[in-house]
Amino acid sequence: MKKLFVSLFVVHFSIAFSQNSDNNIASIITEIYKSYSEEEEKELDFDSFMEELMILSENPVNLNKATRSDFSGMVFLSENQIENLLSYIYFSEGLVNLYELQLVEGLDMTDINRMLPFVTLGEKKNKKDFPNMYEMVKYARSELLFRLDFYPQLKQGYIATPEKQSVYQGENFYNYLKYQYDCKKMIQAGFTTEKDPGEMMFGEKIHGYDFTSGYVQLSSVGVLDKIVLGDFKATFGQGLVIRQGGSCTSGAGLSNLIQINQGFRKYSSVGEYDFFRGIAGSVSLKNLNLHAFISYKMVDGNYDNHILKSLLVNGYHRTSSELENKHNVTNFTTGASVTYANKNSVLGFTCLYNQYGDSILPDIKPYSLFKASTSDNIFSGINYRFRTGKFNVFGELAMNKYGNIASLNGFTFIPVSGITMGGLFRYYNRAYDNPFASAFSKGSQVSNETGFFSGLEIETIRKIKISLQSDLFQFPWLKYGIDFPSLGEEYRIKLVYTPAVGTSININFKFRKKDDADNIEIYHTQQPILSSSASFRIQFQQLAGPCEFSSNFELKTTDKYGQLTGTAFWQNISFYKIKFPLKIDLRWMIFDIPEYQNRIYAYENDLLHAFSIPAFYGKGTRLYALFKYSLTEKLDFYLKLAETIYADGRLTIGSGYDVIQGNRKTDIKLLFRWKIPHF
Amino acid sequence: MKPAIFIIAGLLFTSKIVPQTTFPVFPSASIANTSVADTSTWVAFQNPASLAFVENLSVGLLAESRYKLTIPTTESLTISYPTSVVNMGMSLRYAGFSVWHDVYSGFAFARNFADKFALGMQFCLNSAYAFQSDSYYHTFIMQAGLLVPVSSKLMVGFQAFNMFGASLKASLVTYALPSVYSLGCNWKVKNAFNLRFQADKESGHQYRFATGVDYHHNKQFLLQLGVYGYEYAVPVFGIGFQQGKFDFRLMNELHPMLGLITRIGICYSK
Repeated sequence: MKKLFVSLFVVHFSIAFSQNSDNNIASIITEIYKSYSEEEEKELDFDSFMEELMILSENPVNLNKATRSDFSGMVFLSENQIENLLSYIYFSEGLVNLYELQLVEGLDMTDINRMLPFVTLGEKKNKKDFPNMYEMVKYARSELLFRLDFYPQLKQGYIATPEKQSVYQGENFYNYLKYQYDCKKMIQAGFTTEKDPGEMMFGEKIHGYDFTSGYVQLSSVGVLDKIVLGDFKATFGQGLVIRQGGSCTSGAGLSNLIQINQGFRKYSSVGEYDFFRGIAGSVSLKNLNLHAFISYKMVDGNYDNHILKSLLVNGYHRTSSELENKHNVTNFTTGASVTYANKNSVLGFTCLYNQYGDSILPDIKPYSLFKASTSDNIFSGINYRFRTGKFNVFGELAMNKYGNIASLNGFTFIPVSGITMGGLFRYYNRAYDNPFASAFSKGSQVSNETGFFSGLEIETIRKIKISLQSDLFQFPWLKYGIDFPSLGEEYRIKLVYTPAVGTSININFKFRKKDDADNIEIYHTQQPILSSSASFRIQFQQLAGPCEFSSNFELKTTDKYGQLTGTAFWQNISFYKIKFPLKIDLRWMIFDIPEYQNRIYAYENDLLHAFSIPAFYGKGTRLYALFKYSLTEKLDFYLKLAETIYADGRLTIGSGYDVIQGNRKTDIKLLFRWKIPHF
Repeated sequence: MKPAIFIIAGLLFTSKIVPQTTFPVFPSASIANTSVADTSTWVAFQNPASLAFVENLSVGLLAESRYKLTIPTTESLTISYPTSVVNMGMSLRYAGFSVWHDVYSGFAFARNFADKFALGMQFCLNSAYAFQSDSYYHTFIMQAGLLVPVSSKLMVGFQAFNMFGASLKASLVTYALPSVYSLGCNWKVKNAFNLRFQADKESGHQYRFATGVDYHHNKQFLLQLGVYGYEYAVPVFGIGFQQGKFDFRLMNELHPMLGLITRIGICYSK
């Protein structure tokens, strides 16, 4: 009987699956990442995201032998979906065919299409043996990437005069070199070297590249589940103690409200701040997982009269003052985490000790009154997750050494298939100041915030998916730019209509209202003013043979001192054919946005391992063309040409030392990828 | 005799209607300039992807007169030639009068990819005459277009004119030429009845929205009604008549402030 059902599904849905088999895996990963980040202004670590999923695609998970931890890399799957999948596999005694995924409750075609490159069905050895020398050469995958960006228009910082040298001491190009080695996901090693535009390659303080990073990660080595030497990231619990690489956002949907414990992961991105450098290890003992790490690295600090005022996280070392601040503060961090997990619950404890070489003593401002001014701090937290019937409950409670707490508790509820409800309450004390925390928040840090988020997703209507969200939040203390406690509320409606295979219409509406600061001060005191913004976005996508077309329109209205409306329209065309080694992405965009507060973010396709969501304001057009050509089976070449042309009469673009003359800004980016052959 | 009377009556009727647009869109044979998703005709500097639907060698002339004046006028000539690989087209447009005029000339090619989509490109040369120096200034412009049939009844079109923001550089001044983006759709409600919607945006202007209806009374006779909004709502009325291999079009637009624009076209298809 089961075989009859499976056969019927194979016949009925094989068209959808065969189309998906033609998709480029990098495009799928980009689409997944896009759904996480396009509606938010926070930047997530795309580089690591792409790399981990690419490795997973080459070492797909055997579904019939998979455990919960095997899905930790598939961040687009929720806890509920993973549980339903494991339950289905258990009760059906294994999948016969991947088409059966459609029978799993909570998985729709979008989720299944995303999963397909990363899963397989097949025989699997009971335990993977650690590769020997021969396998390390024969079955390994390694690649070398070389990227070069340059900018025809010269920024102010590069211009020298007879009286003085240019402010930027380096050359006007961006460059990185990255090497990655992977053998069956059990041995991974690599290094990354990077130089930002304006940074010297060879000079007094820099010998070669400005930033260098490396790692060796071994999995399943003796009793150790994982050991990482070099640079790594850590993610435990719901992110109130440690989460590196970005947090969940409301744009990612209710099903991703619960953060998955990812443990330690090697770090190979080009970001110069958000990682650890040292050694980390994990051990699994039946239901118990133990993790520990130690890290020591140098960070950039801004000193004023020998007092450390703040840490610098942008990683720029272009000017003489930036070079003086380079790696002038030591940072020692150590931590551990213990997690107990069974079929229906997870309970974890995480603690972390962090110390800087000097105490950070910023200028006393009202909004930073409660920030810790010490050189060290301790953070610890208890996180939990349990599933009972159709409920999933999760949360975390964290505290620093002064007793200031941060707490996050939430639930998801699936009363019937196709309907998901969720809620999340958060309280972050104004004095909870953890530089490694990243959790659900409206502010830029996990601090000084109270809020309640709720959502409803409905997929019961054929071909239509509706999502409704609301978030009521409060900042009990002052914030940067706002000298009084403030309130806010945000509402979102999202509708996805898929009338036919290859055609979809996405409609997003977002409304936000919050207390803001008036530009006028009375007796040197800011006056509160209510500001609101509403944005409407519609996207139409159509797949036609080897081409994909996407038309996008967004309208954004803000009201602070009167209503202002900005609009943007962009048309994308992508061409990709498996038999022909050329992929082309084209975009034409026009925008008419009066002020910065109306700015519109529009996601753009970019080179491999790169992600771009520029903000647009003013009047103008933006064009880009992205080409990927496979010179040989092992050698890929990427080229992106992009230009923004402003039509609002401006004579310069940018500010400070980044000012360029004229109304055009051009970017040219090249990337070579060599998949190194093994013998 | 009957068609001739109808044309004259139409002329008398439409001459009562008058509006004007300052939005920089090229005049087309589609009602209210809803040409981006109109595959029934291709005239100078319309969506180049429409050229992909031309099936026979065609030569077309279009003339536009504004405010009931004899000058300035706009005249354009279009030649389309289909081949099995790509369809090719040449366009020529003259606007202005003796001491003030510019000429756009273009070469276009387009292809229909198995009715899944059509792509077109046009390379244009703009030559503007400067009376003071008695010389021409030239600029090279690109135009691209796309047509995608979403279903058998719905066609979506997109086109971008001067997408690289080319400017006209004279001896003392630089004049930014318009960059126009258009998005629209054509809905075949019935075989004889087409409804079109279009939005246009130029970098320095506000949006222009237009809608138009084509009613084919029979194989020979076409009635067109439309309206577009740009600062004012502007109604448009047009008629078309096909006789043998010739196709005639007449359109009038009425601007509430400025006056009448009359557009007349004739096309010969082999």
